[in-house]
Amino acid sequence: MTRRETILNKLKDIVEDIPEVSSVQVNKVALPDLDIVGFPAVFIFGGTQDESDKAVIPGQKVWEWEVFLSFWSIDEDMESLFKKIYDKIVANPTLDRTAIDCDLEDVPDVSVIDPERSMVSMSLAFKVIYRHEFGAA
Amino acid sequence: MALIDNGNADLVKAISNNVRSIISETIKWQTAEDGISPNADLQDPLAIIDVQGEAFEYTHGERPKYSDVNVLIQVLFTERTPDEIKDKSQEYIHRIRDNIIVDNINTGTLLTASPVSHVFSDSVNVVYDEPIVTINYQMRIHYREAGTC
Repeated sequence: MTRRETILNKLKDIVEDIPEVSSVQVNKVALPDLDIVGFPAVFIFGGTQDESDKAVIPGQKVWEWEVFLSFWSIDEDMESLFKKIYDKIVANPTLDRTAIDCDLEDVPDVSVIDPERSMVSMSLAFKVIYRHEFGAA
Repeated sequence: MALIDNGNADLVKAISNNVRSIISETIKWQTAEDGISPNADLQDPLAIIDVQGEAFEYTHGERPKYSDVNVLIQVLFTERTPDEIKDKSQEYIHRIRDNIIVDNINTGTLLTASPVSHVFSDSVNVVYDEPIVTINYQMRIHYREAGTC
């Protein structure tokens, strides 16, 4: 398992701990079956990463990695759900010591997925700073 | 007779190893040299021990030769709250100052000869690049060279 997988799994655990969230999936490639998936549903994806210039640690690599949390909901107060997810993550910025830091980077955006069912989604971009031993991602 | 005498090289390696041991075992901070598996906790703070070189003195006469090892100790931690940044910085600076001392360095293989006679704290500064705080603690460890008494 890579450090990235450890971080994504930890984020999944943290978000699953929010009572209002019904399902959480990590790096799901196939489109979810909207009739089966539990709502509100959260999808977590790893994005691009760049070497960080915030710290140089001999023998280790320090990265800044974009991680997206997209949450889909039917007829829910998205701001309230956003606050619950945001509060839960920033209260634990090291993600239980799997990362150096995790913080919201981009302002969330709401998109309508299915207007007939009042299904909307909101995407949050978090910046995760993490490190690993050189040669052992 | 050996052309290369490792006496002083071994001596300065022992000094830097003892500095690392003080940080790992007495202060109990993770150091950059410690391996980390992908599942292991990332400890905070993290210490980096950077041996930056030495200054050798030229001596006349009978007294022993003394030299200095220049060591930069960096302590990295994650923090956003201004009061915590200040409190932790001050606490960590003084943990280094209180523990990296002559008696703690002159241990193990250095115990008998006790070559280290002084630790100079030359400068300490704190740099904040949100969310990482870096303490730069510059010190010189003054030691009596191997083979001199």
